[in-house]
Amino acid sequence: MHQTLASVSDATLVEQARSGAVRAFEELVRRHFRAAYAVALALLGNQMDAEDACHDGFLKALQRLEECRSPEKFGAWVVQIVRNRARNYREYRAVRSAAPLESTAAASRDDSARDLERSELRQLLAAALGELSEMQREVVLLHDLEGWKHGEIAQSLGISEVAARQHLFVARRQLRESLGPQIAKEYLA
Amino acid sequence: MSDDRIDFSALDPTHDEARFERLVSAILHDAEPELARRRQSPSVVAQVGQWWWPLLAAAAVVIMASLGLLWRLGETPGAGASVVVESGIEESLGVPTQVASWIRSDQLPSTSDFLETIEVNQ
Repeated sequence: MHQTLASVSDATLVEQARSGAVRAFEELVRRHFRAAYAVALALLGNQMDAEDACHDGFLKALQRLEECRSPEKFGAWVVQIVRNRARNYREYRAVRSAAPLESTAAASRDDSARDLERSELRQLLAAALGELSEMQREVVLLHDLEGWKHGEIAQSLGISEVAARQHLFVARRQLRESLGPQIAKEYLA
Repeated sequence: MSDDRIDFSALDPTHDEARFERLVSAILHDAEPELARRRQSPSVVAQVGQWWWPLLAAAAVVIMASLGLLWRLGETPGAGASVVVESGIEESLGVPTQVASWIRSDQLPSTSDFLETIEVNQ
């Protein structure tokens, strides 16, 4: 269904979503969920909370769609909304004992050996990411998970492009050290 | 630097398709009331149209009231104007005012009144 809208620009989709077009909004969600998730995960370090932040963030974005002054930059705009939601989650849900990514991953029981291996890797990555600063996590996830360019990351985080590159370099080095050469070689090629 | 990319596919929310579809469905489900509200709310043109007809009706009422008022105000000055016009014609023709009033009243003056008027105007 969403494949037919793959070539449609964000600006057009936003315009259609403003008129209540379900498919247009769905395409926007599919297109930008991963970036939003990367930011939420970097801030919350928890899969479930990151998904909740994305869920609420996209709904908030829909309600405030008229405030999106540059519809062609909807991705950056919605990521900022999710970032704010994630920060609020972190502040106001402090009482809730947030289950770390590792236990959440373990809870989703995968029967096959391959999925089990994937769950283990997810735990390892989450633990390694937890050792990075918030900024480093966001930079490395946006770049390596979502594929954002340095300029986009810099603009989104309000830092210089050089700083974004430095954060990425340090984050990657630290991750490889945390994961260990064996795991890095086995899983991360 | 791009060659050093770390494979985060294990954390990719879209990798588990079923889970991702559930996430998208949940968002769309909760977004439906807002989307429905947006579908129902009229476009800018329709909104202007909604205001246009009451505005037109109000303008018509104001015009009617204004015309009525003008008509009523115009009644008195109209009559006065008629007199002014008439007396203006009489004056331009050199007819004495007293004679003109006799003509308008269809009453014949007495001989003494007529002669007195003639004498006064000569």
